[in-house]
Amino acid sequence: MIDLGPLTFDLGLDILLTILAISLTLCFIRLYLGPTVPDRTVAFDTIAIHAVGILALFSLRINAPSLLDVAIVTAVLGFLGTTMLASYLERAGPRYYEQNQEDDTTVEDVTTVEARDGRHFGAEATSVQDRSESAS
Amino acid sequence: MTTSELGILLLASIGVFFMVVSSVGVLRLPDVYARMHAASSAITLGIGCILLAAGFTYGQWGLVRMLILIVLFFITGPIATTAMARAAYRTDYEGRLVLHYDELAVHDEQPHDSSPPPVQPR
Repeated sequence: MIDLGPLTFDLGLDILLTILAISLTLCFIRLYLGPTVPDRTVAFDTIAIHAVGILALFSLRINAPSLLDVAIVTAVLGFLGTTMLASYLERAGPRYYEQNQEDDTTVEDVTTVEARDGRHFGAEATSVQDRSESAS
Repeated sequence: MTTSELGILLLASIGVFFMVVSSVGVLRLPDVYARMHAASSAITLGIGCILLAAGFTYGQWGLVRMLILIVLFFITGPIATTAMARAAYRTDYEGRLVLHYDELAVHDEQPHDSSPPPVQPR
């Protein structure tokens, strides 16, 4: 037996769960801010991992071993969600690598890139207009 | 608090520390690829230590289940990160502008140059 005064096992787990909740909030801020879709995908992956960690610590806290099965299912679902998002994103997005191979010019026109990005990611039409005017 | 409980708490603390570091990195780093690199530390070290702590608590069968879950994470984590990196490279134009040295694009246009990238004055 080790006596650490007021720090019991349950209190330590409570502190760790609080820290994990704050860390999860940081990931949600990135999910809200993220300028592009891949940023949000990375944030979603981190949120899924945090969910598994919080489930594991919470099963220790309330002494319920059956929550570990829930953690396993959550891990599989998080992996499936991340891979599915990445797959659809790759299939839908513009493929600069292959399109640069077809073109003769090594440097792409700024306006075409902006138009393609705007079509796929919903960029503001005003900014596209401004940049095309300044480029011309 | 027994000694095994203290060990479990220390192991979980190590895992939570790495989770916090990775989420701060996801929030603060400037680039998609840098954020991906920060997120992968949560997969291996953070969640590994937390699940080991949970497994040591519940005896042998819990430890077996948690080891299975850790192996699952070690297999699926790099797959998910690679899929995300491929999708980001093929779609995200602004992220590619941040890249210091794009080896795929260089290989496309001219013979591959294995010399280190030129140091840019700041």
